[in-house]
Amino acid sequence: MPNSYIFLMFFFFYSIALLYFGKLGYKETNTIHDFFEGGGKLGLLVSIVTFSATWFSAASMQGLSGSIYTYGIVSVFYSIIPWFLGALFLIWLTPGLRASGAVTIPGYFKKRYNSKTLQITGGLIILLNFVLYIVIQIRGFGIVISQYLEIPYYLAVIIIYMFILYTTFGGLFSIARSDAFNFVIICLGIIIAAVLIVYKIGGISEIFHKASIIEGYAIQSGSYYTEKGSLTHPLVKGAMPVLSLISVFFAWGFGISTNPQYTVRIIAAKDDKTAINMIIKSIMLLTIIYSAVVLIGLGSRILIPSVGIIDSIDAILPVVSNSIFSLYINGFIMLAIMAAAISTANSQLIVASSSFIYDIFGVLSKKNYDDETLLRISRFVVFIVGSLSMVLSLTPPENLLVYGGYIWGVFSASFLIPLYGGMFYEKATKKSALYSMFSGLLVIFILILLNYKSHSMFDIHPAMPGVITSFVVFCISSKLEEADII
Amino acid sequence: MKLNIENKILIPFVLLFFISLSVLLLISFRNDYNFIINNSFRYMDNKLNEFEISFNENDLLNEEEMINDIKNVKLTNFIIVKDGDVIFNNTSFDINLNEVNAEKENGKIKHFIGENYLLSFMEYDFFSWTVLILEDKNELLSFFYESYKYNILASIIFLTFSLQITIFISANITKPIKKLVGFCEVISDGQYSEKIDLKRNDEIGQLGIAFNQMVGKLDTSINELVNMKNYNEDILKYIDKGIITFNSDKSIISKNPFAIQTIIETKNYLNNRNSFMDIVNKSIELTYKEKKSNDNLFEFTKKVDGDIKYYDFYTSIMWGENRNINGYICSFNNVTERKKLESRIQRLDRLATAGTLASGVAHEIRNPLTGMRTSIQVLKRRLKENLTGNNEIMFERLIKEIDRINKLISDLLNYSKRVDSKLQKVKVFQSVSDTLALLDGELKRKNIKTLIDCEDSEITFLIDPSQFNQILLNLIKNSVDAIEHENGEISVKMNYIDNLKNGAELIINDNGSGISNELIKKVFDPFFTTKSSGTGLGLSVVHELVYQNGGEINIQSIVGKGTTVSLYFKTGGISNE
Repeated sequence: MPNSYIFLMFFFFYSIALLYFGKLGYKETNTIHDFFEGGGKLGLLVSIVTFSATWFSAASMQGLSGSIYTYGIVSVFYSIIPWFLGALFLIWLTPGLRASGAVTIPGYFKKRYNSKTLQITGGLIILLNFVLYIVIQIRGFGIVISQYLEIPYYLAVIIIYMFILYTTFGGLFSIARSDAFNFVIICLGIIIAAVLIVYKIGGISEIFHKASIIEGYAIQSGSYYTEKGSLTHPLVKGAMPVLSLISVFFAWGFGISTNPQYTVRIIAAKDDKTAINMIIKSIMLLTIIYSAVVLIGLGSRILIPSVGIIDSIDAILPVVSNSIFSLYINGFIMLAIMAAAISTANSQLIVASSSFIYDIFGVLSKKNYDDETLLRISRFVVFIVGSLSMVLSLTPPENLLVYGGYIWGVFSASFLIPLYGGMFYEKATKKSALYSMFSGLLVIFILILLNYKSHSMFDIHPAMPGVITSFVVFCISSKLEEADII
Repeated sequence: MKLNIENKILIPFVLLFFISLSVLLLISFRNDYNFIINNSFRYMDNKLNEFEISFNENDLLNEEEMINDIKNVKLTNFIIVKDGDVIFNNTSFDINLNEVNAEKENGKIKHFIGENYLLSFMEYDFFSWTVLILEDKNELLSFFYESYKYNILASIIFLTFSLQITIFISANITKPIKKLVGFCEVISDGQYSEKIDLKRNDEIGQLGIAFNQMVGKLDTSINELVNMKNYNEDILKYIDKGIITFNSDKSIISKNPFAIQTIIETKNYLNNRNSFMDIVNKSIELTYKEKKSNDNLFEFTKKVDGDIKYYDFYTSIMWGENRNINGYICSFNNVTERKKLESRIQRLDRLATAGTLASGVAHEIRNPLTGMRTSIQVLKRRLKENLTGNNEIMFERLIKEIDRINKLISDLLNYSKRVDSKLQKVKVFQSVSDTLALLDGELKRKNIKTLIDCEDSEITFLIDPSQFNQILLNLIKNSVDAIEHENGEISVKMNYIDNLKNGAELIINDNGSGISNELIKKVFDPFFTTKSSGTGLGLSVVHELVYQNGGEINIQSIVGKGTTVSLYFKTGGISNE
């Protein structure tokens, strides 16, 4: 029997399980608050798993392992550490955000600054960014699954579309339940793979020792050459400028601390203590998972020092695991990749829809709807946003994918200063928030356009100038307004 | 495991989809597999046939030329066997010829499926060749599996999609049902004013409307019921009748306030050692046994002071549908006052009769008696000298007996002679003191102590003074007569009975021999006496005079302990005003 049949079998059982867990939440949803924020009553355990599963995306699974394979442990400083630092900001934000009673970040802007412009702009940024981000998730998943199951890409896209829509239709309760299941799958896949790799190489210290003497091209078709010792060097033996590393914190770190997919989980937790515990314990849990991913990345490079012609580093994990592991372990890794993509994409789909309902539709619509109608509208929006993402991901325009790499940076540049400034600077005003948001957006868009196609990991991330501009404009306009000049 | 309605819809569909898709997949797998194999065999058979034609066309060639010819045309997957040996093989397979040798038949194409290959072979006449054409089975099936994978994938997608739709539909169907269940819980909590809006136009929507109507009616009915219940409860609450209900097992279900009050009040009262509740239970037991209603009067006596209460008990069965016994009901009311009134009326009747009789007879007896007494006195005087010893005593006794008859007749005449009462305010303390002084000699002789407890010496009774004196004299004399021991004591107590001082009470209490329960009912009857020399008219007269003066009299007595007589009269206002 061909390998793809084994993968199909894995896929079949995963589908049935996902259907079951998605169904659990479906019947609990009665209002749009249940739908978007789980009624604000999620307990600690379910909060931790849904936070972690949402966090652990295809970027963590394939992107990070591929990046470690190619560039070495610099990726830990490039991504994991900024992510965790950004998450610490969320702890700081939690009490104020929950106390404000807002359910979305733009909703907070409305409450804090009493500005519909800020709210609607915020809603549009979230909607646009998340649609594009879902496209990237679907695309990443589609490529991998089409390889595993040896099926055309468009079929793989339809499969993920079906699952994302299904789990999202049940609202946050369904997402949380299916996230719990997905997170177990992710952990199983990663831990099994890491243990096997460590076992094959002969211990963790052996992995670091052997990785330090590797040199050569990681991707035969690529242009990046690994110097001896650079894999285990935090700054790739000087190839990574410290400023670039700092600049990436502005994108990844602040991207996390302003990301609506995490703030919604803070709001959905049943109380402040649960929300803060959720963040702390999720970081602890993710530390373990990421350690395993680092071992997988470095270990794969040792076992298979070079891969052939591939499109992007995202494809490294499937290719490498195919040569290292047995069929059944590969099946698990395939499921882990699916789980990572689905658990992130459905969360993003619901955030995009909630932004549309609360911050765009809710502000512009004059009518009062009852819960059932609102739920129907919300599901319809989920369907439209999901379908739009699916259609876009079938033949994604190349520049759209390039933009996708900057999405977290766009959140930092537009939301960070109005959100944290509003929360912790009492004198922040509507005008200063507006100017700050638009200036940040303007700068990052210009830099993205200038950088188009040429951005590499070692450049300065455009989020840094974006955030700095947004901060400076915020300070100046606050002071000027205080002095009654504007 | 308890299945909810959603799962009851869902699980059959899941099984249905799964089984039908699996069956479909298996059938199509088998058909496709057979089709591929048969198609290959057909292709191979065609080749064998072509080979035969080419034999026939080249019948002039010898065996070697023929093999060279085959090599030249590059026929693939050919094996030629002659006399059990392979003479030509351009495949990569080693063929087990046993099967071929066993099966081959001249002029007929035969098929064989090996582990890794398919074989089609035929034995020809020319050169005695058996020609085998072979097809790589794994190569063939790998194409098949590759294409068949889409069937499986499509099935999984279809199954998943169908299940998702089923989940949505079942949730959509069951949601209003769950809403209805929730609504029912609200209703069962008593919130009848709630309404449900299922927002549907189908049968479930109609069910919602019907529910609302039903709850509306229920609300109205319950309101009516509650009003009716309150009305009935009010009746039970305020009625001056005790009502105790029992279930069919004779356990108490309810008591109305009057019943509770009565049970408390009769705590120290007994009827032949039975408490009030014993009588209630016995009455119910009787009704239970006889299966019919019962009506009985019971008398309860207080252990301490001999006070008597009368209760009329009525017990009946509460019938349910189909003549089932739902329970029992016991109602009772205090008939003490009525009972007392009845006995007073009876007594008055008896007095009236006695009075009339007495006055008639008295006159007729008195005249001859006067003659008899005079004659006896005359006889006594005449026979004075001859009368000695016992004879003189007998004469004296005769006169005494005639005097006694005379006194009885006088009493009877007094008794029957109704004297109108001239009511005036009489100071009670003074009258009591005078009466006691009158009896002082007798009291001293019997060594009886007297105690007067007077709340206010100015207490008055509105009463005829001479009749009051007669009443007092009779009562105190009775007390004195009742005391037969050395430590006799008579106490007289006077007090107002209300704050407005409209009525006053006089209680005469002695520690004499007392009267039994049976006899106490008769003490006011004329000619009833326990004394050897009594006429039985004293208390009867007192009773008559008390009621004539608008008063009330009560007597309570315990044998061996003494007797208490209570008198009640109006004060006629405070006397010094």
